[in-house]
Amino acid sequence: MPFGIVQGRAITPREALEKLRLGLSLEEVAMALKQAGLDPEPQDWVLIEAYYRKLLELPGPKPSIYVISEGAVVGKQITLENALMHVRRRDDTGRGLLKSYQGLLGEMGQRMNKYA
Amino acid sequence: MPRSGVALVLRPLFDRATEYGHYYMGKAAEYASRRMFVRNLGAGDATRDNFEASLVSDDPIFCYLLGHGNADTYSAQNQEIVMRTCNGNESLIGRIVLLLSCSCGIRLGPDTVNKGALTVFCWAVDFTWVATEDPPFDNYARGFFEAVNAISNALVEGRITGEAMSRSMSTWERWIDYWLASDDPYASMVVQHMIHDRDGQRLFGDETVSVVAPGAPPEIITPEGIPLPLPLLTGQTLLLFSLLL
Repeated sequence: MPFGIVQGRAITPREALEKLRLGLSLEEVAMALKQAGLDPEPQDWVLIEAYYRKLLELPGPKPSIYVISEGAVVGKQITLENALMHVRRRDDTGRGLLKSYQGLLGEMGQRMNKYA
Repeated sequence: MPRSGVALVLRPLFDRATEYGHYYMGKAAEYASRRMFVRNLGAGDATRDNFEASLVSDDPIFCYLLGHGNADTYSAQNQEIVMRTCNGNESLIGRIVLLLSCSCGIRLGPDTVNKGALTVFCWAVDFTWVATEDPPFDNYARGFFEAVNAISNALVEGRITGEAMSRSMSTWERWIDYWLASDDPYASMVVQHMIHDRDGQRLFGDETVSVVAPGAPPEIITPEGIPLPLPLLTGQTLLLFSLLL
């Protein structure tokens, strides 16, 4: 059953998921899902938390994330432990990390589509 | 009128984050000095007074500025505020600016062009990178700053601003491809933040201007070597597994 319009065409939930998987029309699909009460963001929060937990389990010296922002909520260096904490809190920094993680998922979808 | 062939590089150094920008902008300044006069203000010299004095005395066409920032503010050494959206950026009229500072592409960058700067390169997001080691030895951070320096290096070689942006984008792509093909356990994290910075990079203003005299023959440089890539699809598969497992 179509639930929203993406690129001028009515799409079904299955087509929406396929577009998300392939990284196509991400913003439009997300908006359509949101308008239909099917906001995918809660799922992404779970994914990103699992992602940082996995990174924390990896061996070797752990990289930090650096930011050159003025007046940031956090300091200029975000450890993986801090990243996970911000994601769990879903605060401004956590939302920033979520956005970049969604960018990674979108890029991977596009590349998989390109090389498929 | 700003002087062609003259550059001002402002690279504060006062915390862990600025260590990386300071180091890599030093490389860019060194390269620029082969073809331009460069006023290189580093660490304790990267102050607002020195910045303003250089604009008057050197009158540079090109300003490459590092510092903590936000949508409306750019700051230098010890977070001394150098300019805000409505104050100070008028001094950049007629100049080409590379503003390596978080989120200045939201308002400060476009406002600076509206006030008369020729071109401003900046970021509409917080500029982020990943690192473990000190700057000269850190393999994760290298690609981030090489993609930024690709802008200044291209300008120094006589390329116009639009070409400099394109070269930077190509450098991002090459590094993203490299990390996608890497079996480094933290490769996905590097790719995540490279995509973030690449997608947040902006060029405001004129895409057809240059910082060296017209007709100067561009000097071909060998890009800093990206390490030999592993098979791309293998790396992408590994990355996907690392995300999904």
